[in-house]
Amino acid sequence: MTEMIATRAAYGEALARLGDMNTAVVVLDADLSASTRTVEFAKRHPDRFIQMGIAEQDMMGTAAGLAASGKIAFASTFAVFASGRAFDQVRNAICYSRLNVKICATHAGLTVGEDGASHQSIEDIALMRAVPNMTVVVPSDAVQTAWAVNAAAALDGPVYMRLGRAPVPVIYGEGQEFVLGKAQKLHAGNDVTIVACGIMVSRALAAAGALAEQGIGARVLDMHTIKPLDVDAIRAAATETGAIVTVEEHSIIGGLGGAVCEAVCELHPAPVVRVGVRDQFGKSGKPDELLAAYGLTTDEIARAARQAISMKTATARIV
Amino acid sequence: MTAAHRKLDNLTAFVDSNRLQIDGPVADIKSMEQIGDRFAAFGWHVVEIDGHDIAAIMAALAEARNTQGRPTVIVARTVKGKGVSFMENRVGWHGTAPKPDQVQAAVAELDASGEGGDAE
Repeated sequence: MTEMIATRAAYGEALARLGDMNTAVVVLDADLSASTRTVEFAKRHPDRFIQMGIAEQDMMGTAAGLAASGKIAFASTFAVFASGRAFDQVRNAICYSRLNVKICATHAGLTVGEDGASHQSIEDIALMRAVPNMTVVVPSDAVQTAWAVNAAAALDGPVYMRLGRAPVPVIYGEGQEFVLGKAQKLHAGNDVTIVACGIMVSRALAAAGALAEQGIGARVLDMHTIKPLDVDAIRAAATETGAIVTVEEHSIIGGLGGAVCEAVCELHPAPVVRVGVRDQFGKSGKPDELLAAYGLTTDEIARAARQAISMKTATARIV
Repeated sequence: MTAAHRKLDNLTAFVDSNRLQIDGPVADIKSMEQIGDRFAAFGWHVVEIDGHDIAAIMAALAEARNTQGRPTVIVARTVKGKGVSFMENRVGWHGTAPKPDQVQAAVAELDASGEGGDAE
């Protein structure tokens, strides 16, 4: 039985361990510490934890000030608040000055669940990657989250890390290589490439398994870093497999799908079919029911892969 | 709220209260009466002064330095464009650069009243 751990839980643990090792790390939260799991750090390092209350814009401005004073500031709240409510402070205080603030936003996407549309961010990747100086990373499992936390701390500059509420399967083992900006290839194949991020990576792997049974070889890429995108891996996918599917717990507009389309069109045009939320608000429900209702399923990924392959034979070949 | 809650007594804010904004007087757009009372309600120490009185500014800063346990706001009542007859208390000069002849006239008025300082 595969272990199931929420990326927010892995974040809480990794952040507390980071705090043990690096005294420059300070953590801020906006009244959601029990949910974002920054409470782990707060318990171990109360003198370096700043509870800002329900004031996300104030939190981002304060994080910017702390970073400007030489700290490595981790600021957490829900993704919808981090990217939406506090957007101006993220843009003008943090990114314009290229400050060392790591925005680790939890409860992203539909799997927030019962809180419903107002809290289900399906646009945060789109917003954050459009801001200059921002690195955008979407870890797919607990192990990768811990790597990402350390990589974010080591990177000089702003980071937006997207984390989830719901437990997800562990994919990675200790000791594997992780580099920000370098996609991890999880399944080999040359008929189509499935580029996924976050919770959809494990479903992409399941889809690759189903496609293999139909004799279709699907390459699966875990594109954890949306910005900077691993354009070499995208170019290779386009030239070597000729058809691409993107999968994300996010709108098909402006997120991973948007980023991949931008790269593919410029580097080596190939059909791209985007799987994600189809420009709709979410709704209140159980996480798994929502994923099914909005088509974020293994079956839909496999269907999209077959569609991309069929488009491949219809488009002119660019050699 | 954060500054008062965290007792940040090394923080002093100035409000340059000239009662004008781009599209008109503040009172017509979104009236902001009793600025000091609003800050006091949030836990700040309030000092209200004539913003053109240098001695009053210095005294207010000293009071801020001596205030423990809370941040200080100095609400400075000012006249926008003070000392230049065609700018004083007039809407329309926000972000509007005066033309060369207007600059000349303005500097002449300021020099005459002794408010201009060194216009080098």
